This record gives sequence, C-alpha cells and structure tokens, in this order.
Amino acid sequence: MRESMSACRNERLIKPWLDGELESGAASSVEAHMGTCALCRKTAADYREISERLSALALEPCPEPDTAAIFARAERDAGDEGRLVHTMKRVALLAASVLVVALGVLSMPSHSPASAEVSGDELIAVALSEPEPGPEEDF
Amino acid sequence: MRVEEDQDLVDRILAGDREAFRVLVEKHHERVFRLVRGIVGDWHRTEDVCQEVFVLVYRKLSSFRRDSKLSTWIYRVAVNAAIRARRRWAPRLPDPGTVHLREGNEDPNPSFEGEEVVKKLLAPLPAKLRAIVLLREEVGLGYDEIARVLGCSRGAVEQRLHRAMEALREIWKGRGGEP
Repeated sequence: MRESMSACRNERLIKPWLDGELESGAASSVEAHMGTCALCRKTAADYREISERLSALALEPCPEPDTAAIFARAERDAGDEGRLVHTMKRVALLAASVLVVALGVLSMPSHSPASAEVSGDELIAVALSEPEPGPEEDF
Repeated sequence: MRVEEDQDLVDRILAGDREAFRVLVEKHHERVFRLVRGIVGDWHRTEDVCQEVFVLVYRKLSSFRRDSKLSTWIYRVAVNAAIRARRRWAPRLPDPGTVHLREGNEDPNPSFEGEEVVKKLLAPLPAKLRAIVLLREEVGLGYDEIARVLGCSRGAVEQRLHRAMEALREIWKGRGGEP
C-alpha cells in the first residue's frame, strides 16, 4: 500500500497544497495533477480526514488560566534560584579556600629524598664538629 | 497591530505591570494549552506544564529579543517545555494504546474524542513530529512561522510535516480508518 502511495512524485506537494502554502503557479499544477492522479486524490482525502480528526482536540475543555498561581510559582522559583545561587557562591568560596590552602602547602619546601640526604650530611657535619659552647655546667 | 500590542504588553510587564501579564496569559493560554496537550498527552499534566510555560515566559521575558513575534517565542517555550515534560513523565504515562476515561467526576474530563485523538493518533508519533503537526493543525500557524518556532528551515518544516502526515496515515489505516 505504502509503496504504491509513494509512487507519485507529487505526493510531497499535497500537504502544502491543502494548507495553501504553495505559490499560485505550483498550486495550479497540483490542482491539475489531482484531476489525473487517483493516488494523489486518495492521499489528499486521507490528509483531510486526519486534519478533521485532529480538530477534535479543539473541542476539549480548556481550563481558565490561573495567573495568581503563575505569579506565586514564579516568585517561588525565583526564591529557589536565589537560594541556589547563594549556595553555589558559598560552595565556590569554600572550594577557593581549599585551593588556596592546597597551593600554600604545595609551595612550602618539599622533603624530597635529595633534601633529606643533604640534611643527613649536615647532621653528620654537626656531629663531627666542635661542640658548641653550651650553658655552663653547674658543678 | 497585534505585534505592536504584544510589544506594548512586553514593555508594560517588564515595567512591573502584573495586569499586562494577565492579559498576555489570557491571550495566549488556549493555544498554548492545546499545543502542550497534544505533545504531553495527559490532560491533567498539561495544566501543570502550561503553568510552567507561563512562569518561564514571565521570568525570562527580558531575554525576548523582539526579532520575532511574541507568540512565536511563547510557542517555542511551550514546545520545549512540553517535550521536556514528556521525557520526564513518559515512563509513568499510560500505554498510548490504551484509552480510558478517568473514573469519577472530580476533575473536568476531556472529551472522549479528543482523548482518542491524543492517545491513538498522536501518541505513537515522535514528540518533534507531534509538535509540528500541532503547530499546524491546532495552533494554525503557517509554514514560515512554524520554522521560526522550531528554529529550522521552511524546507525542513515541509519535509517533517509530510513525514508526520504519512505516519499518521499509517497509524490511522492500521486502526481501520478509526478514530
């Protein structure tokens, strides 16, 4: 069924034609084509039927808009957003503080193995050197 | 004239005039409701999404650039909100194939015919195709206006509308020409 329907290359013009969206020249061509093509006539009839069915939606009741509720919700949302922004600012401040502390720790002299070795040498040198004068012994 | 009226409403709302916003809501509510209803599917959730749409319109109005009609911008907000809502609620919505009237009279019931159209004809369509069909058939927009709402070319509108109509035709025929 679908294969035969798609056999006519004018099929794509049917909906724009029905909707009055074709320029007058193109619309006239489609109109003339409709007189000779049973497939396109059937497609057009189906599209009209579908449009009619869809129009049933317009018969449904539409509730009255509640503008007071809209204002209330807008204000509540604005409040929520304000609190969210405030919380995010606090989190950002906390993160920045942690970062500053972390950078401070990293910038301190590191205790790498090389520096530990130097420190060890220094200690040996200190041990072999003359004792520094200490406080006088109390005899 | 309508465009000027809308621009005037925007100016007044931005200046803090709540009455102007009430006028805007009343002017656009019904079309927005029908558009959202067709995309979301569930009549009762539609009310909530419509409220969300107008809350967004109210809060984001200052970002409306006035290079299109206000209604175009509102429909864009509505389509996006409805598609988002559909994604959010889809797993909890009833099977599109099952049509049932709500029990009891506690809520205003949609017409059975309208419910059938939504559940049987529109629900099987992808949300974006549903939106394009509704913008044309329910809201009554021309192809150029639909293109502006959806941010696509007129050619894309023609192509998608054709695809949507063919899909609807298949669905309709699959049901023996009903609803």
